[in-house]
Amino acid sequence: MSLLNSSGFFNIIYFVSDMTDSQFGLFSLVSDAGPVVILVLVLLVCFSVISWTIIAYKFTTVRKSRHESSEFLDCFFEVSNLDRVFAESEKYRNGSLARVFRSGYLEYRAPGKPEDNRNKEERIKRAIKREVNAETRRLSHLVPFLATVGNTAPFIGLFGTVWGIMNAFHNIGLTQSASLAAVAPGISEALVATAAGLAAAIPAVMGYNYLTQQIGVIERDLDDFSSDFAAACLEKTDKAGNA
Amino acid sequence: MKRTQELQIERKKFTFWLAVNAGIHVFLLLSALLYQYYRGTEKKQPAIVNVSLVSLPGSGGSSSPGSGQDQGSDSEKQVEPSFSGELPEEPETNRRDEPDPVVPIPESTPLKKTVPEKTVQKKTAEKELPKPKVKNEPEPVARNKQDDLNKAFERLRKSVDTKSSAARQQQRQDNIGNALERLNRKVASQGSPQGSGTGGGSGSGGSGSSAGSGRGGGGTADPYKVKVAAIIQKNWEFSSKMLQNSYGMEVYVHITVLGDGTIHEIRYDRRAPSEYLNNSVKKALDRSSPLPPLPSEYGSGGISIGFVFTPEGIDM
Repeated sequence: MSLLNSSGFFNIIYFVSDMTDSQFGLFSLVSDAGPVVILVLVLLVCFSVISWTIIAYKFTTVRKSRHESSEFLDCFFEVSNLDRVFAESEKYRNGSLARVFRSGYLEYRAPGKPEDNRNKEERIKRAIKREVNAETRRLSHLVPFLATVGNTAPFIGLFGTVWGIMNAFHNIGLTQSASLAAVAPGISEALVATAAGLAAAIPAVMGYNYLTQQIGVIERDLDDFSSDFAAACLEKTDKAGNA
Repeated sequence: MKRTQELQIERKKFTFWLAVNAGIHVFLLLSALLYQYYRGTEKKQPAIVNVSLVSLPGSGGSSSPGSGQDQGSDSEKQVEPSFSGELPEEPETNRRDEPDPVVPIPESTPLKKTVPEKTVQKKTAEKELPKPKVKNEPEPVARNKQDDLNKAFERLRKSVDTKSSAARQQQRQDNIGNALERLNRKVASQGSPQGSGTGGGSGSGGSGSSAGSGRGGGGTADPYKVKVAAIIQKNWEFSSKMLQNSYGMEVYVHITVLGDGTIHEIRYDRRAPSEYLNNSVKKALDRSSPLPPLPSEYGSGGISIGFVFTPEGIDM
């Protein structure tokens, strides 16, 4: 905090403003742009930050879920005792399969009359389905935002460009000069918005496609596992009922 | 309870990634800013004025005292005062070959007839007055000279820009013609000791006559070299519009001329950044070959002549 005292802070601000006011590169274009173009650019930068955040967050979540699910599946097929599998499932709390298993197991172990086997079967199936849906919702949470950014960011950028070009041509009309020197700066200034829109949209679309594919794989695993698990539970329940 | 705890953990994770990504974006923007800033500072060009603009339009009038006294057209009158202010500096840097400095020209009486020249002369007189006083303090003198030079350059640029290209070509041809004429007169005066008297001179936009000392001798004392320069200048074809940047557009060339006038060798001492200019030099020299046979005084072995080419043509 001592480094960011008032004079140092203002020095940094002055340095940055000095650089943006200078005649170099992209930032000089941005500093000359109108308020609408700047608003569009700020919006696109925010979109980009949020997109990358979702990509990073979901990437870690999905990866962890798939990794722990595969480990839990090995454990599930190795160990025949459901109680021991439930004890082992505590280690894989982020795995989607382990979560579904725990939900079904709790329903399986729920107290009830022995003659209510048919109801129990229904309850276990319902509990598994509910957990599968919840897991799918949890995994795909925030992912549609990536699709939104991927679809809308180029158009938002295009809007900024069109607005900038509109103003540029208006200014050209005022200066009454149609030379390249008068036309080019306004257009290049406006095209920055389209570039920013594409820069925000491309990673968002790539992230969306990757995450959708990974979540689809997990959903299929959940469907396969839920049927296997329900059958195993019902088998044990029938055995217990016959005994 | 577990659900709320899980939600809190998830929220913390999301906030962590948000902060990380915001930081990365800020870092990337700042690094791009710094990169462009330092790249932009590297590209700064030094403030050097191309001197070839000075020497060309008035070279005929400035290189010899006789032509300096000519009463030319209005356009030349505008150019001349700038020379009167800056020529004492000029020969030291670019025109070392010229034997006669042009310092006394502004003090000659015919120049006082026109109003603008009077004012300029007053200015120069005012600027020259403090010189003896300032001998102990060299810095102000240097500043004054620098200011004079800058003003002269600006005036010259304006005057050169306003002229059309056709007028420039005409002017160049007039200059070369003047140089040849002066040389002829000089040769004639060297032949006859009493060669002083009235001299004729022509300006760039017109011609006039005035009394002069009759002493010729401009930029080049060798009539053969002047003839060669005139031939090359006639074959010079170059469009300045093709150049994006006029900085450093000078080509230093040495040619070896054999006894029969053929150009035996073209040697580039310094090439210009523009290949177009370099090729134009070569083409002009190719077109000019063969040159007139060497005079007998050079012998039969051949001579080497150096030229400086600028976008406007030859600058000997």
